[in-house]
Amino acid sequence: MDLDAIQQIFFQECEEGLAGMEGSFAAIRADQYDAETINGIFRAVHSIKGGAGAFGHERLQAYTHQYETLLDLLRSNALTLTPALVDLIVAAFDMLADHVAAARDGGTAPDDAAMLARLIAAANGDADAAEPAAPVAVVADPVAAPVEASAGIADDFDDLMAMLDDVGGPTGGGDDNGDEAAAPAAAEWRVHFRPNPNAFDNGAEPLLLVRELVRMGGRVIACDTGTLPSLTAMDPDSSYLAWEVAIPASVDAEDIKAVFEFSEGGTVTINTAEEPAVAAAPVAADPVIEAAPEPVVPEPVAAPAPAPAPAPAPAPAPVAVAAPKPVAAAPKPAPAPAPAPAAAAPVVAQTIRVDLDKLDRLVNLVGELVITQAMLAQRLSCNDMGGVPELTDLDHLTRELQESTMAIRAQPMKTVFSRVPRIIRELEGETGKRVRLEIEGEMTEVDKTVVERIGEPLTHLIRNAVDHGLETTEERAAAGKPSEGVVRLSAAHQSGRIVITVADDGRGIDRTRVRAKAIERGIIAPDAALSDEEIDNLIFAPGFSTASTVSNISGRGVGMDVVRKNVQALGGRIGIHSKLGQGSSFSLSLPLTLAVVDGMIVTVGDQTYVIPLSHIVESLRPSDRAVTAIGPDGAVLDVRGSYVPIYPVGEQLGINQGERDPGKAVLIVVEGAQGQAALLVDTIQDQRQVVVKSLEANYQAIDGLAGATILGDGRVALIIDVDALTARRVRAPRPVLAHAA
Amino acid sequence: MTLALSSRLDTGAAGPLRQSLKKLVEERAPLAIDGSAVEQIGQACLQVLYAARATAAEQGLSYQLANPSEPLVEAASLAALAVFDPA
Repeated sequence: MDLDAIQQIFFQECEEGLAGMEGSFAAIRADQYDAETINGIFRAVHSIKGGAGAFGHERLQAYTHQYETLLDLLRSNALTLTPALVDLIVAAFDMLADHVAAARDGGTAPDDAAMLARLIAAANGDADAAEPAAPVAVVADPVAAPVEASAGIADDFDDLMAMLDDVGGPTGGGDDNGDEAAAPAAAEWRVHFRPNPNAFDNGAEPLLLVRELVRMGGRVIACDTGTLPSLTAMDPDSSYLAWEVAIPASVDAEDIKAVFEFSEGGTVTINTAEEPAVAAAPVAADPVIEAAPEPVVPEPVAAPAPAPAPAPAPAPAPVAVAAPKPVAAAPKPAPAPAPAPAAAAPVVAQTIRVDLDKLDRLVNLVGELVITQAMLAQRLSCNDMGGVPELTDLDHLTRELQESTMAIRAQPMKTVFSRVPRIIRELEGETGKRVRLEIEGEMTEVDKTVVERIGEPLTHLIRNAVDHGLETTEERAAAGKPSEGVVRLSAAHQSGRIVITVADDGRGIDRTRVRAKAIERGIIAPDAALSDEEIDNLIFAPGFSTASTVSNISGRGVGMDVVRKNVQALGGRIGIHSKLGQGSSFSLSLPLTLAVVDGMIVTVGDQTYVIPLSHIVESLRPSDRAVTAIGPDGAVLDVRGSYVPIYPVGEQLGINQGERDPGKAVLIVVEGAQGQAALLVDTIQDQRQVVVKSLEANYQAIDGLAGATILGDGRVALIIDVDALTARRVRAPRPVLAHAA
Repeated sequence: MTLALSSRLDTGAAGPLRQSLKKLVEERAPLAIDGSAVEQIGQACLQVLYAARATAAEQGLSYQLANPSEPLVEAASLAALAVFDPA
C-alpha cells in the first residue's frame, strides 16, 4: 500500500471524525452530553492532527494543535463549557472542516488567524474570547505551534503504522487516547457481568447493578446481545444480556465484588486491563489478562465467561478476581510501538474497508446469478419441472444473497445528514433567522449511489426551507410563533422505499401568490383551474420563483425544478404538503437501490420492454369514448375528467409492428417530468424485479431508454426512460395515431 | 399507527410489550414506537425492544423509537443498547 492510499484512508477517517463531531455538538446543544462526548471530540481532533503532521499538512496541523489545546482543557475540566465556548468550538469545527477540505483537495487553507487568536485566548481563560474579536492577538504563538506540534509526529506514526498493518477499522479516530493524557489511566478493571436467565425473578433488576458500577466511576463498554433470540422466540421473563464495564483501577476490587453480593446469581468476572478503552472491542474478543482465580471460585475461570451462563446454579455468583497488577509492571502503552497492532487486533473484526470496484463486481455477479436463476426456472418450467423444491430453495437463496449484497452497499443517511448542521449555521448567519434543526432516522440505510446523489437536492430543499419557508424573527413574533424556527429532517423506510422529509414550521406556501406569479411568468393561463396540489407543484416549474428579492441563497428560480429532476433521475418522486401559516413539508420518496428496479414487462410488436413501476399510476384498456383525437397525429386519454397525451411506445422507438389503435391496446398511465402521460403498448406480460444493466457501459446511451435487463428466457429487454420518452415527444412530435377514435 | 409505550415498563410489562410488537411484526406493519411517556424501564423491556429492532431489520420492516423520554434515554444508554434507530 503506497503513501497516497494511506493518505486517502486518512482523509476518509477525517470525514468520519468530522461527522462524529457534528453529532457530539448536537448532543452538547441538547444538553445531553458527558465527559465522553468531549473526549470523543478531542480524540477526533487529535487523530486529524496526527495524520496532518505525518502527511505534512502544516497549516492543518498548526490549526488542530490550538483547537486540541482548548478541547484538552475542556475535557480535563480546567475550563467549563459555557454556551459561548460551545459556539466557539463549533465555529472552530467549521473552519477545521475547511482546513481538511483544503488539505485534501490541494486548495488554499482558510484564513484562520482570527480563529486561532480566539482559540488561544479562550484556552487562556479569557471568557470574552468566545465572541469574535478584532484579531489583535494574532501573533500570539503560531510560531510555537508547528514546533511543538511536530513533536506529535513521532507518536502519531504509531497510528500510521497501525494503518499500514490494518487497512481496516476506525482505529485512527477511536482508541488513541492522546499522548499527553494516557499516563494516569494505565490500568483499569474490566467487569464482565452476565445475569442468570432467571435474574428477573422476585422483581430483581440486573440493570441496577450496572448502574451501581457506573456510579462507582465505571463505564459500560459494551452490551453483549449475542444470546438474545428473536422477538418471536424470546421469553420476556428471561435475561439474555451481558455487560462489559470498565472501572478505574482506583476503585477497590472488594467494592466491586460487593455490588454483586446480593444479586440473584449470574456470572461475574473481574479482570485487569492495561489497554484502556478499546471501546469498540466486542465482548467475546476481550483479551483477558492474567485472571488469577481466588479460592472462592468453584470452577476454573480460564475460559473467559461470555459463553451462555450455566443457568441452574442459584448459589451466590462465582466471582473471579484478578489481583491488580502492580502499576510498575504494566507496560506503559504510549511510547512502545508494539501495543498498537495488538490493540488493533480485536478491532479488525468490526469493519473492513473494501475497494468499491470489488463491491460493484460482486453486485454485478449477483445480478448475473439472479438472471441465470430466472432462466433456469423458465427452462425447467418449460419441461414441466417448475415445481422442483430445489428451485424454490435456489430462489430463496438468490434473493437472500442479493439482499445481503445490496446491504453491503447500504450506508446510513447519517453521512448526508451530518453535513446539514453546518449548512443551517451558515444560513442562520446569512439570513439572521434563528433555526433549530431536528433530525430523525439518521441511521436509516440506503444504497451508496442514492446517498451520494441525494446530497445536492437535499441541500437545496434545506436552503429553500430556511430562506423561503421560515419567517424572519420579527414576523414570527408577530404571528405568535416562537422566535426560533424549526427545520425537521427525517428519513424512514416505507414499503421498500426510503422517504426523506424536509419540513419547516414557517409561513407555508401562499397559493394566491404562487398562482399570480405563475400567471405573470406565463407558466399557466390566467383562467386555468388548478387544484391546491397543482398550484403547489408549480414551484417545480422551470424558471419559477416567488422570492421578491433574489438572495445569495435562493430566489433565482433555478433550483426547485433541478431538485425535481435530480430526484426523478434517482427514480424518486417528490411531494409537498403545506398549510398557510403553519409550514411546509417536502417529502422525497426514493428507491433503496438503483441496481434493481420493480418493472412492468410489456410487449410492443415483437419486442419486450420494461416500464419502471415507480412511474406507473395505473394501466387500463380504454373505452372508445375515453380517447379523443387531437389534430392529425395526436390523441389524448380521458382519465376521470383530465386529459393526458397518449404516446405509442412502438412509434416512439421505431418498432413497426406495434399496435397503434388505442382501442385494441393497453394504456399505461405514467407520471413523468412532464406530468402524466399514457404509454400505448400491445400487452402486459408480467410485473417483476429486474436487474438493471447499464447501456452506457455496455453499448452506448440511447435517448428514451434507461438501461437494459436480461429476462428469464435469456432475451434482452430494454428499460424505458419514461421522462426522456415523454419529453422527446414534446420536442419532436412524430406522426400518427392510425385510428384515433 | 404508532405504538405508545406506557409509563411503567418493569419486568411485568415485558410480556405484553412483546405481544404488541410481535403483532405488528406479524401484520408486517412498521414498528413506529413512541417513547415519550416512559418514566421507568428495566432490562426486560429494553431487551424486548432490542429484539424487536433486530427482528424488524431481519424482516425488512421499518423501526423507529421516537420521542424517547429522559428516563428511557438514560436507561438505554446505561445498558449500552441501541433501541432508538433501526438496526
